[in-house]
Amino acid sequence: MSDEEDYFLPLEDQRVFGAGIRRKRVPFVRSSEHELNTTNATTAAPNTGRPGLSIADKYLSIVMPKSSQSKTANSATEQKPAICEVCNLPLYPSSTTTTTTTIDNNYESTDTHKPHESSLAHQLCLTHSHPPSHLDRTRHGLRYLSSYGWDPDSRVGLGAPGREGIREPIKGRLKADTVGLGADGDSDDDESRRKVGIKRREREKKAEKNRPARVEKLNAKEIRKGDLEARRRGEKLKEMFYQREDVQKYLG
Amino acid sequence: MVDRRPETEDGSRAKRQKMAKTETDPKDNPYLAHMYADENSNGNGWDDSMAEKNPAYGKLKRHRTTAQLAKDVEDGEINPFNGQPFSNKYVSILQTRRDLPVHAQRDEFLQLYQKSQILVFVGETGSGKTTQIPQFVLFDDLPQTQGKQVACTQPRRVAAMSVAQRVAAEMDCKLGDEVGYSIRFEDMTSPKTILKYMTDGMLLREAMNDNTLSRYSTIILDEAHERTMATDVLMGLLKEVVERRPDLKIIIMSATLDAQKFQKYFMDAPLLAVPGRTHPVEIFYTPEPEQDYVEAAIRTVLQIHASEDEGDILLFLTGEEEIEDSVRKIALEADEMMREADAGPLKCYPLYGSLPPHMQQRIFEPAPAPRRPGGRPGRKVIVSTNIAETSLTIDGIVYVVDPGFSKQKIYNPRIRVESLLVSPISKASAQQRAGRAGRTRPGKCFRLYTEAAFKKELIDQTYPELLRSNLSSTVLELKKLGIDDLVHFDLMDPPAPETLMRALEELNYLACLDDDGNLTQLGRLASEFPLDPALAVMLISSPEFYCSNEILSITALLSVPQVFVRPASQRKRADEMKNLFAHPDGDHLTLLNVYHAFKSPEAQENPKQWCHDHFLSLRSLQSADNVRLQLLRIMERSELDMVSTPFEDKRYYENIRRALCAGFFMQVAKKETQGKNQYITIKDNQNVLLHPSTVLAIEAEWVLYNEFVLTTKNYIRTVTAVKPEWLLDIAPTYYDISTFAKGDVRSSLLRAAERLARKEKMRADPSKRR
Repeated sequence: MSDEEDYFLPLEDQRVFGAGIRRKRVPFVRSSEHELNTTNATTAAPNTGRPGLSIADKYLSIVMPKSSQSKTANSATEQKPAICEVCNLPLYPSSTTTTTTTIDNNYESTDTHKPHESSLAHQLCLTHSHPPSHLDRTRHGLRYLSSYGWDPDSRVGLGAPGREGIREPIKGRLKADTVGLGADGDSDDDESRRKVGIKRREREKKAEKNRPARVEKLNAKEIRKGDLEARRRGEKLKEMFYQREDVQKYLG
Repeated sequence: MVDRRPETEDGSRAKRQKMAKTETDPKDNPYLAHMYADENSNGNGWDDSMAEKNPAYGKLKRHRTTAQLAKDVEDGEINPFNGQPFSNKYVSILQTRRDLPVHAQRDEFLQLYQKSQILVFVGETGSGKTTQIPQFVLFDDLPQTQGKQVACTQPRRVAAMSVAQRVAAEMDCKLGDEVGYSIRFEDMTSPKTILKYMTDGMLLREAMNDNTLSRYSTIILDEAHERTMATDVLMGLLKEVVERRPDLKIIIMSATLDAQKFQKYFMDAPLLAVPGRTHPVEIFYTPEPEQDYVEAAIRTVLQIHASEDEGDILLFLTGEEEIEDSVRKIALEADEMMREADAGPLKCYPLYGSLPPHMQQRIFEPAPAPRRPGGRPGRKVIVSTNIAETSLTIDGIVYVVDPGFSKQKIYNPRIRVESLLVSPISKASAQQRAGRAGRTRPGKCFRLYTEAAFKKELIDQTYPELLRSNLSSTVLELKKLGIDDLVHFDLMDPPAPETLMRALEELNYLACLDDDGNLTQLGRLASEFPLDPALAVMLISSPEFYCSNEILSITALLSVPQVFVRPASQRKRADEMKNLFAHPDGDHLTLLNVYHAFKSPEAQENPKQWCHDHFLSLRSLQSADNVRLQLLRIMERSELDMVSTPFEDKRYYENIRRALCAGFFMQVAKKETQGKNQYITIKDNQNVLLHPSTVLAIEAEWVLYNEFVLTTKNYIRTVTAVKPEWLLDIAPTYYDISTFAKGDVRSSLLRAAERLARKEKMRADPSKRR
């Protein structure tokens, strides 16, 4: 049981490689029956006392040679916070404990590692390994491009060095309606809120449109009433008109 | 200056002039005799005789000209380029020319031009750059002394023609003599020509046969900001050519201020900017996104009409249908406003590419006068596609309404479909549109979107055409230009690898490229034709099917705009007329029937009436006729036989359909087992429907199509029934059954292969028996 577990855990590490070397680290605990796991990778490590740590060290020195350099630079000029070469952030030795505790408990005590490397910003700036291109390797067109030195997995476009072009064709989106620009945005937070607002306004607008339509559908009684009112208004106007002095004078 | 000329000044006038030219050969002209004497002697002779006539001209030294010297020559009595006295018209034009903004910077331009091999020139529309800069160059480069020419490219044919015409007038010479133009299917130049306006595509074609462009001393790429495919390829090519030809000078002219990109691309070439004659434009946004941009646009136009000062309105919409619809609505509403609110009269004109020229011309009519003296002023509204954005300028526009959309071509290499989609415009495009409002006086631009949308949703620059198109013809051109390393070819914006791969594969299937990607004999031949490779291959292989005459007609008809006219009010009648020509086997054959009927003596008696009666576009048919003639010349030059199967032969139509397969075997769809009219495209597996316009009368299991139309549904348009046996026979590599996945298509192909084998056996058997 435990054998199997130990076997799979380092593999888990490998899968995330440079990307998550310590971000999602699985905590290790020494086995109580250490003599039994002789063939295991963890115990077969060099005898430095802290095998897990030294492996990680070596691992780091391979994957991140630059960050280890910056580490030494940091120790040399202690008063000025050095800038990390990978993520362009200042290295603060004091911030060690605060940041690391949350991320991983095991390494907090061991001061050999600068916790800066485990910060999210730093991790994101590391070069990642990428999955290979989806292009079908048997394609005639790919063969041609490869023969002129283009590598589909290199993640660069075509063109003169330094001026490479796009890597994926431009995608079009079919627009079959006449919805205005910005009104059919994606599920962006800001936009969805706006969308809700629009819908409400639209509903209101529709309601407004519907109202006069409803008036036309009055029942007989209401029509009679409206008719009466209109007549009364007309009479009032007539009255006002004919009762004006000058008009009456004119009419004699 | 140039832009004021409408798109509409089409071939008609130019063609007439061409005829006039052939009537009077300049060599017979006694006044010009000296020129031909000099042509054969040394280059300087030309100079000397001219210098006598125009003393100022004698002072000109190549690449030493100053603005003052050039002015003296221009003010002289005798035209230094053809030795004739200047006309009165010339003098009056000269004055207006000197008022153009570029003129003020002539010295500056000349100094930079003399100093460096490549120059980037930025001048907004209206600065006069297209007409004046090439003339500035002529006075300094003096190409006639070197036996060379100056070329100025234009993205559009109409622009090349109309600008050449204008410049010929400015230089006081006949179009086609010292100043000429060259566009696809029409060459209006002579050996005397020293300034040649041409489409960028034409210059690219010339480069294919002369890859150092040795006949030019200066090449001007105008409207480079439009980033057409040909301009992009030319820029990449010229970048290489300048290294081989230090004597060649290049000027890149752009109308927008993203010129730094050009500068950087051309090894930090010097840049000269000339301000245009523009006025400030106030920009307005909507506070909220609009639910319906068409409706909002119409409302905005009416609002402007009701409340803004005098000045014409330009509204940008996306397509013909939308435009016509809006024009109708605006006219109706405006009438009501006039009656009820005493608004001024409003005239509304549509503008789009497929509009007949005389209708396009109408946009230049002045705004209507007030209904009564002292009444509210009249206004004109132009509802236009993108054409009005850069290509042509309409004076008097003060208000621009911009919904932020345009129809843009996009190519999807995975399903090999090129389609026109309504898409948001770019920021640069929006600014260009706004700028249209400030041509005559300060203007206003109403954007029907929020400022946030402008900043967030619009891309900075419109994607260049090269990134949005099928590249097969471009790749063929590049291969012909001798550029094999397509990976590292230095384009300003290289295409996506997948798009390029698709193009290479298509050309390989068409046998234009061999398996190693080398140009084949067929490919070399196909590149001679200014056509899509599939069409070119179809044309080249048509003699094998005994129907090159017919295929040539069909090719010509497929290269021109739609020949069938279907006005909204008379759809039924139009369809009836179309059915007169219908061939049960499909639309390609129907097109052929139309063409044959059009060429009949009965129709030729009065083609205009005949086309009108039959709901056909005379313009399209005439240009098809012209294209056919031009292609015929290329075919004859390439020694391709013009043959026909006798019409009585029952294989007449079958041969044509087979020949169609030779070019379009990659555009085939097979009927689905269920669903009426439902098809699935071969290899790309797209579900498609037959376009409702098809005349195909039989239940065809396999069809070949000319066009994939992407709308809410996927349609294939212009279809003809074919047989899988033909496909297996004609394109065995593409229809290699082993590459097809199990399914309907594969089993149908297998059955066809069996039938073929059986037939083969039958043919073999009788001989055995004997």
